[in-house]
Amino acid sequence: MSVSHPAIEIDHLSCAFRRSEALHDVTLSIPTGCVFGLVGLNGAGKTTLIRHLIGGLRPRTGRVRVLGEDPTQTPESVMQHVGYVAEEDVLPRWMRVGELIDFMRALYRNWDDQLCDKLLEQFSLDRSTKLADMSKGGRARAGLLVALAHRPQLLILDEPSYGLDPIARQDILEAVVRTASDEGRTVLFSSHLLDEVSRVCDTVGVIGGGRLLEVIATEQLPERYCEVVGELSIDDLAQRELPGFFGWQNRGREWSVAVDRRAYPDEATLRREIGGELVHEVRPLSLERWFSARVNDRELATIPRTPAVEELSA
Amino acid sequence: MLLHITTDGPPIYQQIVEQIRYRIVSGQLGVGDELPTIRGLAESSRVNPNTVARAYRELENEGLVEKRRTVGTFVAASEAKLTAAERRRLIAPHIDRVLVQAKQLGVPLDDLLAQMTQRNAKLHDAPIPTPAKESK
Amino acid sequence: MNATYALTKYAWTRYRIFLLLLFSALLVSAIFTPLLWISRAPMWLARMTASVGYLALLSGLFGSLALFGFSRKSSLLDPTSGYDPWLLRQPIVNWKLAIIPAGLITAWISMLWAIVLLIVQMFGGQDIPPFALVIVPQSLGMSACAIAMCSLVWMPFRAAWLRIALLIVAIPMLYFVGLGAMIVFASIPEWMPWAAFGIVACYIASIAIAYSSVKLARVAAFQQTDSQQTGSQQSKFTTAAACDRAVAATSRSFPGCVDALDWYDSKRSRATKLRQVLMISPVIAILIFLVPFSSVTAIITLMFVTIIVGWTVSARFEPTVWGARSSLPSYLIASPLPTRTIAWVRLRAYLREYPAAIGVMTLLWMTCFIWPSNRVAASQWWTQLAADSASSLTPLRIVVAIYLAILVTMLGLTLRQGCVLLRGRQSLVLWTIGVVCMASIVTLISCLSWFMQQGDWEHVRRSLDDWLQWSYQLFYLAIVAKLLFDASVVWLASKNMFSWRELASGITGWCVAVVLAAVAWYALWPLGGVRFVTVLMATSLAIPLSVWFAGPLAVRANRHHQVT
Repeated sequence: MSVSHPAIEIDHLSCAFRRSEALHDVTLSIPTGCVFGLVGLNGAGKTTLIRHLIGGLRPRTGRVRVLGEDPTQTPESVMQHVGYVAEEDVLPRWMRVGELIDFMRALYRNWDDQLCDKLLEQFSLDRSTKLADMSKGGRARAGLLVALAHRPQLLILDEPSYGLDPIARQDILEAVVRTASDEGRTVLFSSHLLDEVSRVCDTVGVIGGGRLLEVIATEQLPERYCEVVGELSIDDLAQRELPGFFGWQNRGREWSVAVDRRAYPDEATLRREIGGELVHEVRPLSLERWFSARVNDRELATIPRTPAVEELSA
Repeated sequence: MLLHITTDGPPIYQQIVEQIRYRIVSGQLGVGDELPTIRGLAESSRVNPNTVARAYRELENEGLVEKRRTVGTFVAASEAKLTAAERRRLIAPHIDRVLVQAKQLGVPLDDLLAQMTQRNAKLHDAPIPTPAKESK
Repeated sequence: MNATYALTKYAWTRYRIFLLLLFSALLVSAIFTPLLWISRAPMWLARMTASVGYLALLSGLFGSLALFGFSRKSSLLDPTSGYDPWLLRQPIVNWKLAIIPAGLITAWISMLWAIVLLIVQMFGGQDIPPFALVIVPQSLGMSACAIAMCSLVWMPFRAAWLRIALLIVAIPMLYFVGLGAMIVFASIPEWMPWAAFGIVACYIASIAIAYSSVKLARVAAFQQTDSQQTGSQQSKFTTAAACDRAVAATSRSFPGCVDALDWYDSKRSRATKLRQVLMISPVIAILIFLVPFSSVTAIITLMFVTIIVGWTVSARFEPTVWGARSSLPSYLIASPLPTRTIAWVRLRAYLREYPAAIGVMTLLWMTCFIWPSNRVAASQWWTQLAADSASSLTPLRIVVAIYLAILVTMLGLTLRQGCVLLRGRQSLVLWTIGVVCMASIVTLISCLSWFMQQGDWEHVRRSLDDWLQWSYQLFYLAIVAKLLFDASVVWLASKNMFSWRELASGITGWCVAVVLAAVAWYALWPLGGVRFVTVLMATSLAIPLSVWFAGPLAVRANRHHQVT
């Protein structure tokens, strides 16, 4: 497959279940070779987005292209190159590990037996164990094995480490890193565990309430944003309206806010804008703080302004 | 090479740079020793390969390691390529931290300078010193 | 008292829908039957509402097991306890966990049984003299059976086959003993004290068993560790597991993805099939061995049995249909399998079950001829048929023709059901099953209620002939409807997934099959006035065409779900 198109291309995708809106006008392009982390709270729309990518949902408005093709039109050819690990524990429990492997091997053209054996050994799985007798972590490893052993060009992991023990999580992260190290392979990694995302992803997208709020390269995050911590004086409430400020949080009189550095040429200007001595510290924005700022900001935007201000001054 | 990476500290590439630098300065890695491949280090420490590559670039810029084409990355023999000004800029935040601590404990500057000289002498006697980071 | 309330509430919230349906059916029947009886409405309508109520009562009686059994088990093959593990973790003492469901079962059964007897007394005109004296021991006896069965499900076993073996032995035994005691109680007054003593003893024993099984279940639930679990699983099917293991340990390579899917589909439903066979076998055994045989009851019994067997194959509740948003698991959705392959292989798997179903039915028909009276009746029937059609009609030909007819009709039924299941919408599946169930039950009840009252065979035959004449209109209507439906499916298929060439080959294949089957049929059983065209049309009605195109379309809609 040529590298001319991005691995994943989503154009103005919207989706609504009954009354609730699951996705609202999402546009996203993930280039080949990228390790993309999709973060968001539970129910933010991560799984809905991923279900569109594997062809489980047919877009009503918008367009989805995976490896240059529509996964609902030509699942036979697209899915040959996609590895997918589902959020839920869905593997057929009546199968044995060996039977699962044999079944999956028959479906994929470029199944790699050597890699499969290597992974079996690494994940310490036994071909004769029944999936029903295995622990949740064991089943997750088996799912990961069959998603990796055909050397997919695109690996999609939907909350892979949810509810797993630390060792199983490490195995999953290692698999992601290994896939990413190979040339021309893409990983989409959905999670709400930010430390995993910040370790392995080079690009992060935050999704909240069905909207893709921001996409940024993890490397750029500390350069682009900073966190300002200071003390609030009552008559300075208007500061909330300063450009590039978002995600206010306060504990007592002390407050913290995320600031977009592009609005201010240097730190001195920033301090002067806020009002000098109020500021305790200006530090680079961590991924956690960025995430909570983006998600909180969206929630604030949906509720009326005034109560939020009162809450802040209280 | 087993690195200890945390996600709530400084940026990950910086943690890699600091830990490798410490190993080189303290003599655990000698001149001409080969560093693990980017891929190998990324897999063993479960970090994005690009981050490891960036850390290696940083180390190369500092002159601590050198990249030999198609062979790998090795600890450099040459002296540091950094200019004096750059070195001063890099050490400044650490000095600041020590000064703040000293002021809070009420250690006068003269005493501090004396202690620094004393400890420096001790550091050069001992083969493997305790790093400033951990003694903090 | 609080625990009683909580557990009753639990049963109510879990089975609310069924209970509401049951109560509303009872209410409707209780209100409308007397009204219809008094008014000048046709008699069959009144009888129908009465039988609806009666059916609801009976299903309530049988359903008490599920209602207060608190079971969450999906498979009887699971050696662990079937008591709801969530309840086992609650701070309720053991004896309450055992006694309360037992008490609820008893109360429920006595209530329903009292209603049944009341109805019988009021409308049937039969007088049952000491009313309370009859109800109490009879409902106690039935409750004892029900509690004993529940405790067999609650009991944790070391090996799974033990539970199944016990169930197979215990269920017919319980029914024999329970029914026997009731009959003895009602008919032989001298033995009454002994029977009453026996019933009470059985009841106490069943409660004791229930208590011990809950206690064991609790101990097992708390002590269960992974190693124990795997240990017990290992000892479960030692021989079968050993050879399965050996197969799994060496890698097998399927020639292609179709073969792999074929293997998957046939193996996937193995447990479900086994469970269903286990579930229906006691019912069939009871029907066959307990119903006193005469030529009429034999026919009724066989009709029931055939329907039950047919339903078990076709109306199977796929485990994936329940609970999941789609009946296709995500590893199949995200696999590179072509949609058509998924659909056709699944339909083929349904077809494969046919030999087994037909075999069971053959066996059942054969068992009927153990009784000499049935053999005599059958031979009379045959000779009469042969005389009527005035041709060389041998019994063998009749049997083969009937077989062919059953095969073709059931095949079509299953394939259509399979298509609905492939669509994977839980609500759709439930609605279809509900509508088909209601339709068949209503027809069956009305037929039976009419049939039971006829004493004169000649009259039955004459009305049957009349009805056949009249049903020709229905037959033509059905053919037109089928043609329209098939045409619309073919049109939809041509729009979406299939080229005209594929459609043409499908239709040609279907035509060939229809003609061949019709010719075979006509040759086997040349009925007097029936023309070949009629046989051909009937065959075309029975053999489904649209499923081969509707199946892939259903899978496609299921796989790539369109959000509305």
